[in-house]
Amino acid sequence: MIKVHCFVSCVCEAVKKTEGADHRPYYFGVWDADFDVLENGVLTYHSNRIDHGFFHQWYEMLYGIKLHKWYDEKQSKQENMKEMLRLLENKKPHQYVMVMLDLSKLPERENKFHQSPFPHYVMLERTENEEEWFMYDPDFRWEGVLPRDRILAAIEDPSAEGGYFFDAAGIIPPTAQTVEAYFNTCIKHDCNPMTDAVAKIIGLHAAGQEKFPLSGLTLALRELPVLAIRKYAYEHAFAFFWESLGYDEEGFEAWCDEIEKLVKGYTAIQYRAMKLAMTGNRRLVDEITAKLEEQNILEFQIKRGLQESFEAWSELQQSQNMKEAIL
Amino acid sequence: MTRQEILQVIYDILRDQLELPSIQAFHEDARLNEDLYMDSIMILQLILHLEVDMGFDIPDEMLVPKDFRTAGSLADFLERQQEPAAAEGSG
Repeated sequence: MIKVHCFVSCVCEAVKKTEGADHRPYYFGVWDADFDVLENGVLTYHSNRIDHGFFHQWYEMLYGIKLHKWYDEKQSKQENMKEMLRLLENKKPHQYVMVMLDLSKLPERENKFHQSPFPHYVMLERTENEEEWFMYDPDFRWEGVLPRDRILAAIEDPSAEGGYFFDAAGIIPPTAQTVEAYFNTCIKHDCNPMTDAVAKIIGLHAAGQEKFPLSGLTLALRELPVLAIRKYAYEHAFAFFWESLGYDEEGFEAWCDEIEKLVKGYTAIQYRAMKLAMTGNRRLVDEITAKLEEQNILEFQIKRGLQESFEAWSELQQSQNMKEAIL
Repeated sequence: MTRQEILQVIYDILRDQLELPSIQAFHEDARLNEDLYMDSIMILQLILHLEVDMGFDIPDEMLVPKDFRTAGSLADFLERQQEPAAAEGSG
């Protein structure tokens, strides 16, 4: 698993550690997860208009784990850090303390996106050494010991505000009905919000307004790679249905190729937009528009393919339920 | 362009256009991401300069290949791009 969504990956960690519970359905919500377009036309994965309410609510409904938001934005950073220390102090093994920090303050960790600041959720635990903490970063599949003071400094950064606490002792695997309801909530067959947003941003910058110059496109789409990888969530959904249905590996691999094509397509769009910003060659606007249309067609195809496997899976669940009722 | 000249061009772009802070770590085997601390956007910027300023032809589908892992593998790729007929064996 590569990085997809840090909040989702953190809370999934507890599910993955529980035998009989499957974390893959939870990823249904990730392929079209929230993002924002700021007033200056910049696409961003993180803003104060985005909360994790949707994933918070569905985590509780799918796995029966209550998520407590311990971070209180109305309180000072120092007050919040005091609360975090209290939680860490009293934490039991099946309990988890999540906190948002600025990952760019820990440069030895991950530089793939080189975002600064890089607000990111991780989980913490104390170690026997007071000066060091154990940090879990399931989104980057990294865990290790780091100096406590460095972690605290990364949490102190004003770009990072947030934290959750949960106890996974009472986790329950989701029922088929809940999975169905979640899938139906997540699948959007009539729009691909991120592609639409990129089209809107290109349109803004191509319109010739002073506020949105062509040269601003590089910055405007800087976070596109962070959002594009969320499309790998489709792989989890296909894998989940495929396994239940006993379908062949080849069919699954074919969908993975299409998903890979979709993710790479955003790199091509970003590259062309950067070229447009650098050269001012407006012919590139048509090339980008054509590629965006291609992306839309491809993603709708993926969604339809997923819908078909979901329907087959639903039928299978129903027939299994009927069998159980008769027996 | 010889392979050595291509490596020099890559170095010049990283130093002059991208003003890469980690430029002193540049060598043939330096990995763009892990050793030179370049993120995906910086790698695209480098390729863009190679295409727009230096005239290398880089098709869209080649944008995120393993070819761009190190400075040396990027140079190998660009060397091959200069001789498409020879590389395809159609000459």
